[in-house]
Amino acid sequence: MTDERSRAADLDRRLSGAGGELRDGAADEHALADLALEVRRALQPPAPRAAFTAAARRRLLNRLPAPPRLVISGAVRRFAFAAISVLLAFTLGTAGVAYAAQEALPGEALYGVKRGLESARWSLTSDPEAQVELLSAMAAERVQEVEALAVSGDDALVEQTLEDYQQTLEQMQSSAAGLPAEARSAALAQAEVQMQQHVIVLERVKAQVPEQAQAAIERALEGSSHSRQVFEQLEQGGSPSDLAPWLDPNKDRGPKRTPGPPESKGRP
Amino acid sequence: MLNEDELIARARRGDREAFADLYQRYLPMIYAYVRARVFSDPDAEDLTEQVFLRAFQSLARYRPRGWPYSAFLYRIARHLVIDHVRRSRREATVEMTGEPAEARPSTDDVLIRQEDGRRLLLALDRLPADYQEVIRLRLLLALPTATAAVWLGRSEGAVRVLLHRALQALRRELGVTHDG
Repeated sequence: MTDERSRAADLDRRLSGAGGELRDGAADEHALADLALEVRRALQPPAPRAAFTAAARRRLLNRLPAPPRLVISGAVRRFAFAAISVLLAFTLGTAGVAYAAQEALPGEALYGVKRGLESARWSLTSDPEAQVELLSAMAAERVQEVEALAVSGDDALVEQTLEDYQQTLEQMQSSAAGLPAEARSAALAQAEVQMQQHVIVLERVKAQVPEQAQAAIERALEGSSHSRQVFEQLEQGGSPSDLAPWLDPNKDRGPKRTPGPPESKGRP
Repeated sequence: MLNEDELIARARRGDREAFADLYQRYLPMIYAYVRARVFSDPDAEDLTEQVFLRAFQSLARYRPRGWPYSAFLYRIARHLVIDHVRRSRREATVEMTGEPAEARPSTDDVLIRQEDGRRLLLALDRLPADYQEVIRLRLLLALPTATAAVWLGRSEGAVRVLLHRALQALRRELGVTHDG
């Protein structure tokens, strides 16, 4: 652990009230902890007013939609049961393949099925909020694949999957630009939280892979940072074009791709 | 007491009591964050209510992925505050407007505390944004390091180092020297 990290850990222990003896030379951390307590005493915000808490609760609950009540007749129920039974018998075979494909990694036999299912879901998704959510899930999946591939040592597939990740982020930016204003902040907030988790995973993977693959991860991290800047811009009422475009120095900037999940590059 | 995922699942099915529980659970921390940014009770109340309204309106699409719901609320709150500050065209760090004048006691101790607070706010305002944010989350909201790390999207070690640097920078801004 570096000296700075050790000192920061000492400070954190004091602030958390964990006690214990500080290391020799930790007098500075005593002073910083005293300053921290002074800041907390002077600037700690007050608790919300009880009247506001109660009134806001009432207003929020009054604005919630009532859960829908669906009334189904006996004949409809019997028909639906029969139809579902037939459908279940037909789909159990293909469902097994789809289930197994969920865990497939690039280069494996079922990876093409996995990406094909993603394409199918994409083609059925027209709502911008649902698109952002779907693309966010796909980006998360690419990051998990990168982490698994890093363990297996296949650097070429790590780099390819990172490119797919960045393409997904670009598509998220396009979909996010089409979000209606009233849905924008919540949808982008969720996407940003998830992207922060991507950064944590990618930083962890970067420490495990050889230098060449580290460069690819660094590019992906820069692309992720740019995407978050685009989302911040959108949340503040701007547009992606207000920011300078982020150009991956290793990418061939050919004709712009039409929206849709990137094609699977895995071997069939 | 239900865990967070169970509450969210119930709320998504339209359980109003689950909504109420989520609100009660997270209101104090979200209000504290907003209030620490805007320094006005009416503004903080309005913005806090907007945070929960937007979060609840999008609950059908929310997917728990292993991080706390508070991180999602924090992101919404942060962006609403940024919008509010931009609209107001000033960072309310110079004026402390949290109390109506007639309710403000006039003892010397209180005046000294208010002056100390003003001095600290001015110094805090001169720090980089990420230093200000870690001081707010760790000190003003008293969030544990683990929670602050999730909210900020950093590792716990990175948050500890960030706070250490932030306090050193604050000390420099205040012109305080360390003896010994």
